[in-house]
Parts: sequence; structure tokens; C-alpha cells
Amino acid sequence: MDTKEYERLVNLYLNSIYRVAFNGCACSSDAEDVTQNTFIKLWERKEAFPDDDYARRWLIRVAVNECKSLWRTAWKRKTTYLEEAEREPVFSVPEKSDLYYAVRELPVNYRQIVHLYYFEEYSVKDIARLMKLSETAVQTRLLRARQKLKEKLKEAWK
Amino acid sequence: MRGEEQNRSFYKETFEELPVPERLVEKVGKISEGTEKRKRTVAGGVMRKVAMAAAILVVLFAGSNGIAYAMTGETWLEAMMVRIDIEGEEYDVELREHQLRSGETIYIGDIETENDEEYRVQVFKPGQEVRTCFEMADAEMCFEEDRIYILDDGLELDITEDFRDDGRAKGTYEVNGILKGYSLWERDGKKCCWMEILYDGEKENVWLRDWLPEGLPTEKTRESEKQEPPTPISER
Repeated sequence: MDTKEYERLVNLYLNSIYRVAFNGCACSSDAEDVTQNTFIKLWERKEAFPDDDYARRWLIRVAVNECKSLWRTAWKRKTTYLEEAEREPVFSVPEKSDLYYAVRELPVNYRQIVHLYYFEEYSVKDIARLMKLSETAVQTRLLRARQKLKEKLKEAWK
Repeated sequence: MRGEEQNRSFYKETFEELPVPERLVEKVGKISEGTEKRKRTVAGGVMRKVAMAAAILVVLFAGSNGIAYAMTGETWLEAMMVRIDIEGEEYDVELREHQLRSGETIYIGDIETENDEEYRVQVFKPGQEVRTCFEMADAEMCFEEDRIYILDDGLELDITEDFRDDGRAKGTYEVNGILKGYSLWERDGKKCCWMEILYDGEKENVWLRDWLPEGLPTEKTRESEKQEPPTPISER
């Protein structure tokens, strides 16, 4: 991939990929590693993408796999470091902050499905294919995640 | 569906506000310059070395007056340089103080070896609670001192004794009306195990590599090394 095309795709999709990684990892430092590794794979890719949507899907698929690999092999030390605590985002309204924390409290394997469904607008079928799960498993996790969000957010979540 | 559309819009607006760390933007930008390297995952094998490094550090502490004070007193140093041996190579690492959300303090340092592998060293105070959890489906499997247990939505299932008997543990438990199964066993004569949790018919299967806290498992492990792992729950 040439530098110009790489930079164009970084500008287009870095935010999106970081958010996918953020919701697929236990902590933001893992999400940064996943994002970085995803873009290293993009840079190393030889073939051009037929279009931008294909590139976006390819990047998301790589990020999901990177998260999965991290999730399956890494030890997750249940600690939050000071520097990480300081990085907690500030939202424009408290309701958004409530949603953010409610999502963060979901199990990690729910969180990524929720993000792909609500943010990236993937269908259940696409998510199942992407995450190598059955459609029933995706639907069940989505349903449970919705229930948990409803319990936490009450009227704010329909 | 109107509610779902509102949820989607609410979700999107929220996560669009999630900032991408500036240092990440910088790192990703530098990839095309060839200056950024692949980040290594801190995996089980590394954690074993980390545990070893921590043991070395305790020796170092005992050998120095200043640090001996740090060990026995209430206050620890904010940062310190220590020399750590990783597979025969010595590396200097600066340990920095980090505060856990629990209020406890640990020390962390990063090492990049000559083979471009990255290690994170984490040092705990003697006697400080050290808990390592491994996420699987909805559950977590945790090691803490000489205990192994499963955490699942408030349920804490201690499987230490079962595992200690023969290096295996398997069974079922119910949480929120859902019956789940687990199976854990050692492999290849290493103090390690596979763990599998069944969840809604989907299995999550993880090789926990060759690290376990000292004290687990027992001598009976040797016998189990000769045997095949038990049939995973999902194949029964």
C-alpha cells in the first residue's frame, strides 16, 4: 500500500476502528494495541481495496480478530492503572456518560456485538459471520445486552 | 422499531464523543514511516516470566537498605531502576508507581528485549492481594494466592480443592437460571490447564499456558500428565 492511500484510510477509519477495538477489549491500552496492529496489517497489505466500504469491513474484521486473539490468549489482570483512570472520557451530557459506563459494564463479548450492531449498523447475520458465532448466539447476546442496558438506564434506553 | 432507532442514535452520538488518544493517532501515522513495531500481547508465558522477575525483585529489595525500608515501611519509592534477568539476558527497567482503583499501589515497568519482544513487569508488595482473572464468555476464572475460582455475575465458585486432587476440575453451576458447565485440566506435563466454559451452546475454550501460582497443583499432577485430557463438555 502506498503512503498516500494509507494516510487516506487512516483519516477515514482510525476513529471507527479504535471504537471497535475499545469495545472488544478489556481496557483502553489493549484497544490501542489492537488498533495499532490492525493498521500495521493495512500497511502490509499488498492488494488494493475495490472500494472504501470494503476497506472499512476488512479493517473491522481484522480488529475483531485481533481482539479475539487477545481475549483468548492474554491474561487479564483486573486492575486499572492511574493513567488509565485519568483517561476516562468526558461526555457532553450525563445521559451519554451513563450509557458509556453501562456499556463498559457489559461482558466484553456482549460489548463488541452491541457496538457492531448499533454503531456500525451490521446485521445479526453479518456479526455472526464476522465473529464466527451462530446467529442464535448473536441474537441471544444482543437480547441480554439490551436487557442489561435497560435495567441500568431505565427510560433512557427504549 | 422506533425505540431501537432511538437507541441506535443515542448509542452513536455517545460513542462518537469517545476520543481517540493522541498518542495512538501519532503511532498509527508513523506506521508508514516504518518506525512503529507490532505490539506483543502479554500472554501467559510472559506472565510466568513476570512472576519470576517479581521474585528477583524481592531479593533485590532485601539487599538494599533504601529498598528494604520500602519493603517494610508504609511508603514505597515513586520510581526505581532495577535489573531483571529474562532468559539469561539482563535488562534495566524503570519501575513506576501505579495506583489501582482499589487504592492499592503496584509497580510497573516495560522492557523491550533484543528480539523486539515487549514485556510488562508488575510488582506487588509482599502480602498484597494478587489476583489474576481470565475472561471467558460471561465468566472469569481467577487465580489468587493458592486459590482458583470462577466468578460469574456475583457467584464465586471455588474449584481449588477439586483441581488440587488430580489437576482437573469439572462440573456445572447455575447462575441467573442458566446452567453452565466448566472443565479444566492440565496438559503436556506443564503446570497449566485448558479451561472450557459452555454458554448457551457456544463453547469458549482457552489454553491457559504454562503459568500457575506456586502451590498449585500438587504431586498428583504427574499421574495426570500421562493421561489424555478429559472429553470437553461440549463433545459429550
